Amino acid sequence: MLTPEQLEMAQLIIEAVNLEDIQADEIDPEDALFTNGLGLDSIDALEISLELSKKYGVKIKSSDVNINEIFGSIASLTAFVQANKQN
Amino acid sequence: MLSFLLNSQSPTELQRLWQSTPFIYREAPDQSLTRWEVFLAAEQLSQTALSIHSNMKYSALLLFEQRDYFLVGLLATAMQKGQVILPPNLAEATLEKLKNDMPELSVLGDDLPKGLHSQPQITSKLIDEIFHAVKKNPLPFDQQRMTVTFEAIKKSEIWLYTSGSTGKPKKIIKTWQHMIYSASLAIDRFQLMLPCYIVATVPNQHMFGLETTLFWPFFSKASLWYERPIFAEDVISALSNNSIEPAFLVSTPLHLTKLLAFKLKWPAHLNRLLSATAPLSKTLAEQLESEFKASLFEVYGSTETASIASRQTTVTEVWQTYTSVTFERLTNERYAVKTSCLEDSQVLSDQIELLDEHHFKLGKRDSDLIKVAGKRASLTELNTHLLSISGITEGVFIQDPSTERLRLFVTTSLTPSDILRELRKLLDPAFLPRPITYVKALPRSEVGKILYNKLLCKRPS
Repeated sequence: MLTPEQLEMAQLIIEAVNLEDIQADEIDPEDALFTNGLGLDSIDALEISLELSKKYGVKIKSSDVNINEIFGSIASLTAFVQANKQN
Repeated sequence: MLSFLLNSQSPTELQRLWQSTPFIYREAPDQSLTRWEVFLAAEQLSQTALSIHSNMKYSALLLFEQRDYFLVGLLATAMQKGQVILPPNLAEATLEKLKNDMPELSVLGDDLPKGLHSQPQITSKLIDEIFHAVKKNPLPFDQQRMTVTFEAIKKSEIWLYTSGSTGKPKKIIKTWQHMIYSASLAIDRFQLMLPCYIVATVPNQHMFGLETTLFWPFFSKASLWYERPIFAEDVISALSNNSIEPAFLVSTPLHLTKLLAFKLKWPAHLNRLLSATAPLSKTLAEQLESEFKASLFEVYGSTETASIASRQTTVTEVWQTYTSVTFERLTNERYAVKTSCLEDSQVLSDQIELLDEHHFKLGKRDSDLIKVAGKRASLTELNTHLLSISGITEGVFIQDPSTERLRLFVTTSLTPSDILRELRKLLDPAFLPRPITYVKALPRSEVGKILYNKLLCKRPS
């Protein structure tokens, strides 16, 4: 079950990368986003980072933090954004 | 083979360039590597970790994303007379096929994808230890040792994959000799024998990345950022790490366009953008030049030929070939490329209009070949994969001209998640459909041809 914040994140990702055929509440929050999970690629990550900076004022930078863990799943990305959001 | 490098400077200058000038930059200044340190590290890796394979034909699957690890692996494998395999993607089916063809395949990389766990592995930890050892006991530069080595490895092979017009992935074999010669032409075109700094968002495993981040800088005076930055903040911090001017940002039209959307202030010494993998419109090129405050050059090439021409898109739509690249006319708009380093002439997949010996315009691309995020595929191949999934009655991939991504039109009782799960096993993620549209049947003309325009008008389900 997704928390309200995770659901919002799932919705943002679906819109950012045009995955319209997936329903936000169908996604398992622990599922991998890349390669073996939703199958996103690096350009998708860049687009998601743009939306995150617009919506939450969060700057994603791979050298500061363990980016693979943060982008690991909806759950980890939501936790990171909630902890670092500016707006 | 290295005459362009050896003749352009005195032995003392060459020694300074190879032994004392930082080549690959990392965050900490004392962590940066010189060309000679990379060379020595490759020798050590080759003599220790790889030499156990000396009795058989050594094949190395090179997965490192970091430039320094990748280059050491590339060079060490060549020194061991082995061949380097650069996979087209990491989909299960691709890896399975590689393992079947080469059961002894070694993998150079860290987090291995499923399916490679049982292969012999060399990780970055070992290469870091070697870097450490090389820095601790620096050996003086030895020009003869360097030239003898490059002469000895000139026939060593690098295997890359591309989608041929038949739809099956096609293996392209490049030798070090070809890559070095081809690099010398680009070094001349982009004046890389003057100090400059390269930051690249493209992967090592594809031809454009292999050229711009490895072969061009290794054999010129260009220095390089060690990582492949994706996020805007990372690109800026990679550029800011170094004030060498000019700084080049090597990327793709898609990535550059996305970076633009962040509306950031780009470092002032960034004054060259290099773009390849898909043509840019003049309008977009103008926008990129004005936002980045840099000159944008497009590079034209293919996996078969490496890069062969360039243009500054805001100034002209005409491509200028590198010196010594010539064309051979096959049919009206079909040409084969010849350079003195290509063993055979290579047929271009694009149609071109040749204006004179060194200038051409691009015609339309073979419509079966598409590019998404810099990755090339054949629609025929993608459709064949699709139809191999049990439960798909019929279906077709189409590239959406506005987003560059692929749309899928399909007749099936499978859910979108089912379809995506199956496709993920077969395809690179870049080619996964965004979005999927269900149709009762594909609209066809009287002679059975699919009516693509009718499909593109349909809304996603």
